[in-house]
Amino acid sequence: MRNLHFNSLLLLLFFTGCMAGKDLGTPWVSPFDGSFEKALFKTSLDIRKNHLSGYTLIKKTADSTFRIIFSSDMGMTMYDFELDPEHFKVNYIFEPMNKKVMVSIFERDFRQLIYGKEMSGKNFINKVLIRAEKGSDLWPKIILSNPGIKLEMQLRHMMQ
Amino acid sequence: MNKLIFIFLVLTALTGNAQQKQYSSAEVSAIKKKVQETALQTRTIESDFVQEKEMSVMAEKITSRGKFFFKKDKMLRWEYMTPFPYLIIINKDQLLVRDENRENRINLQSSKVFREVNNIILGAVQGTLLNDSKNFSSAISDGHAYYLFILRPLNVKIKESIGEIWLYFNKSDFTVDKLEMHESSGDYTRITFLSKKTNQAISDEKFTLQ
Repeated sequence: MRNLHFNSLLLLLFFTGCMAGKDLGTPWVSPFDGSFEKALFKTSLDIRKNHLSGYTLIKKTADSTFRIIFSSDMGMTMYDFELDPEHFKVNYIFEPMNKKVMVSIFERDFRQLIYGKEMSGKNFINKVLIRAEKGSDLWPKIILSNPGIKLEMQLRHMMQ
Repeated sequence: MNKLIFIFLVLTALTGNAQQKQYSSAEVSAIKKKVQETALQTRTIESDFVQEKEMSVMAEKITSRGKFFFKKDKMLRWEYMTPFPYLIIINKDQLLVRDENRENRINLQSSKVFREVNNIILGAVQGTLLNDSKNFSSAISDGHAYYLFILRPLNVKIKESIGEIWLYFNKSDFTVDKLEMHESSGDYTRITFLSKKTNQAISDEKFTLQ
């Protein structure tokens, strides 16, 4: 009986330990503000059953304007977006992903990631969850998910 | 006066061009034939590679390095070591892609897109893409230390992703030393082969999809 209690306690500790890193309740604080210039991230992107892996470059090109380029491990550009508080420009998107709904999901996700503001709209598909786990350097590992369409993006900062 | 300067500039530009080596169509055919013969005689290739993705608009570069093995007929191991591990194995009709988190197996018979990508990769490393006139148009570019051929895909769908493939052939052994995939945005990925060895024994185990 005593053992059972101990095991339950261990289990509880284990699970709370796992949950603590997820910070699901804390609002997302964007690291892309102020003096941010550019960052390169190792990226994995899962959309339903499709898995993509590569590198994302996020660069501030002007005041509050950002360029986001995702390129596969083999070097092929998957998407290239330009974002400011008012506009979203698609410079390129890999043809199979070039769907209106997909593009608007990316816009919403990146807007929240970069500006830290949740966009209006109650549609479940548009729900974006962003959490930060402790990373290998000063940057957290960023996990962005869109449960409504089973999208998950993981961004791990790379030293340059 | 301005007109005179313009004519002068045009003339000097023309003379500059004329001084470059211009390949005759007979020479181009001879180079293509040599490439084809070399590919026919090549049973295996083993090489290190450096891949540089140039994001010209952003003035940024991503560099990765790895090793590659090719064995006839259709076996390829393309392995990135740094900055992150990533492995692609092609074994006849099977394709395996493995990154840190996931492993994917694809039957090439069932996917037209992957089959085409597969053919491009195998054709590019062997150089045989140069003679694939069904899928690519090709033109030689003068004045390089290599025989540089610029290939343009004829298929509209492929053209959207790959604008041009530049194949740099070694002038002495007619193998591919360097290749570049140019996207329509102006960004490109350059792959340089280093310490290339051909026709050395490579065990089939390198290509098993464990």
